[in-house]
Amino acid sequence: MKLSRLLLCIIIIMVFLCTGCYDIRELESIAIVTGIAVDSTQHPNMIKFSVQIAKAEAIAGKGGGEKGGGSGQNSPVMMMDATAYDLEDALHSLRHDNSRELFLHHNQVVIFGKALAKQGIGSYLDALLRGHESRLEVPFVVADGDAKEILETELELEKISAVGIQRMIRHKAEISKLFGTNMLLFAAKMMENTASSVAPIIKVMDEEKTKRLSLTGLAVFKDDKMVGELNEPQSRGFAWLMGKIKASTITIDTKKGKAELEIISSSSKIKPNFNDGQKLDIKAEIEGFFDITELRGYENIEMEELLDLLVRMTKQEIQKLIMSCFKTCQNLNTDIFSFGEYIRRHHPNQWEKLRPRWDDIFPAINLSLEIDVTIEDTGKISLPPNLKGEKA
Amino acid sequence: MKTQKASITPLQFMFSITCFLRSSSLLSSFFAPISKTDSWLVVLIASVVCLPFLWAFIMLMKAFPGKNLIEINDAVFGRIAGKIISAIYLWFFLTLTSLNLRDLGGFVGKSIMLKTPQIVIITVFILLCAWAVSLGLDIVTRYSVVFVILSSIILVVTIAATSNHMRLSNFLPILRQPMKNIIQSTNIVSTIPFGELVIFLMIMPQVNIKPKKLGRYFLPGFFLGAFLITLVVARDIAILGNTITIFAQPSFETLRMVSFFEVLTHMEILFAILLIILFFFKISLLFYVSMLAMSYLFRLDSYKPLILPSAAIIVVYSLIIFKSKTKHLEVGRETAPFMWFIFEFLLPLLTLIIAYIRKLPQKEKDARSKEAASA
Repeated sequence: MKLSRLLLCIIIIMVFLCTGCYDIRELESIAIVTGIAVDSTQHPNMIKFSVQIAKAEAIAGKGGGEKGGGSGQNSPVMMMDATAYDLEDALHSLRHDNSRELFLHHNQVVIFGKALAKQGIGSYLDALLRGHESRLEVPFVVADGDAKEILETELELEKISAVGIQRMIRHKAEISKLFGTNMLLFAAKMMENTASSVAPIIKVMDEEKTKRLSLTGLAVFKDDKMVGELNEPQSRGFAWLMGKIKASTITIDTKKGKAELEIISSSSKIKPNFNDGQKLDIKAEIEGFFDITELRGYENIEMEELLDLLVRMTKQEIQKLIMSCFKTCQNLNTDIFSFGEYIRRHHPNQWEKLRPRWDDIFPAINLSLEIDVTIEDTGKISLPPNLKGEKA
Repeated sequence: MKTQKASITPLQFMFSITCFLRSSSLLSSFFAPISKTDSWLVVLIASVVCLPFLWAFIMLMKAFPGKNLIEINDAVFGRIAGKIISAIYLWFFLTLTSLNLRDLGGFVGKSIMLKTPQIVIITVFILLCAWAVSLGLDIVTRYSVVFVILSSIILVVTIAATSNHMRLSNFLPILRQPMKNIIQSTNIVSTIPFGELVIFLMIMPQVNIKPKKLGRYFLPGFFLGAFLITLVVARDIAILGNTITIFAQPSFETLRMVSFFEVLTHMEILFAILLIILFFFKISLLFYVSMLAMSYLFRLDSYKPLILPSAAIIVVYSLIIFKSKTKHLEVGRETAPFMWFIFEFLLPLLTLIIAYIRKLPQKEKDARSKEAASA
């Protein structure tokens, strides 16, 4: 009994004394990495690996409004880079070249340079998935140009640009989940047999005095190499075809006037038709629900007639978006729509016949669309107010 | 030989089985990469495949009420052969304890305490288990009810919280892969968690239960455990899809994906807590069984003096048992299912058959009196 009490005392003392002896990580001993940028270099096998590190003291010490000038003393972030053969190598050289320990848990975003993306990012993705410190749901984007430059761009509203970029991506993903990808989703898509993956493209917009970041379009990957791009309307078409677009607007421009419709929700259903395994026809049934948010023009028109017109034009517009996207992808031979995966899952017998020839079949797919548009609400007013007054 | 008093209620016995199985759901990386998105089905198939063997366990328990595995071996195979077989079983129990300890050490070391040497984690943990074991079996099994309820609550919460990431189409196509994969995976599932139930033959005499009612508690416990494993695996597949094959700890990654309205995020800590709790249960039980087997093998009055020395052996054993994690996975996938098969299924079946041929349960009294005379 005495012994056990003594033991208990020792254990209790140990609990308090030995908390994290080995793994102690105080704020002042770590460098919090907020963003990672990977670029290619002149040397074909080497990469430039840059990290953005948040300076905790600088952020805590300063008030909201002030902006750190450039890479000056007061900037809340700093950049570090290393050139190495691979990602782990670069990380190690950064670790050893630093007074503080790199802390990757709070990394907000991973950016790959366009040139590197074209060479293939599989091996770097592997290192990022494998590391025990890195998180899988970190969004990842492709820079239109140099990835480091994106991280270095200062944002007006955010102290730490990587946090800003992460928020931009999240914001954009509200339109469609497909516009934001993360390590896990990307890897999952790459592991599908034939599918190609997409990642958002981020661009530096040079405006008169300041620089601004903008997410426009999607980079299309075949296996792990970037092979092409979808522009903004095309990526909307992609989202439409997948039935995953919402919280965005569609603009209808006709001779009689202009209308803005807000997308409330959308869905799509894919129905493949195998034609005895020679050729593949895919029928997509797309449904969209809209609210009218703005009408301009449309004078002297009945409400019903107007709604008819809008529905018709919306269908045309969606068809245009989707077809433009689909043709681009067929030209690139990239199945970003996971049609192959859909067939593998739902029609496994057919898939075994199609799979060996998928690269020939996909570009020849005949896509037919059946679009169903419903305008649910016209807002608080129905027809546009005739501001010129009644002219008899 | 001392007599054991029956101190475990049937309900605790049932939940111990469930809890023991549930703690093995953390090892889905042994079979998930092989059977991929059909893994949940594999668990169900394996639970059906295992039924004849479980029947053998139950028959043994019924035929020799009040005797544990070591005593049964003595009775069935005779003194010398029985001792040899019991010694092999002791090795099996110690190996299981060490393997599970290594799993725990590996997980904590790789995911939570990165720089802490594994020996520290393992030693601290086995000391805790040793404490529990020294207090007796009923202490360990009493926790099982709590642990099963706790882990089920966490399971339900995580299923709810990850439901926005789930895609049911991840399960498709069902059973469209080579039969070999399914069979191999079934073999792994049936030997690694399910067959390990053979250890309950050791603690049977301490369960306060009538032999007739055994099946009524054993089987529901088993099916509840199998069902929980199926749920865990199905949840992971629904979320991770085909990437389940690349992760060392699929459930850990699944819980990382939790983002419930941006409020509840990163629930992987729940997984860590669950893992440690369940491993505590499993290792304590295995440790207890090893100690009991050892004390019976060497005819000691109490297993308690064995605890600390054995703990030291287990620590070293678990450190040297594999050179690396990759080797562990390889053995877990390729060698263990066949080797364990002998201990978990063949030997009990053989015991049952020989017992049947020798008409042993009837002769039991004579054997005991003979033994008493010789002793």
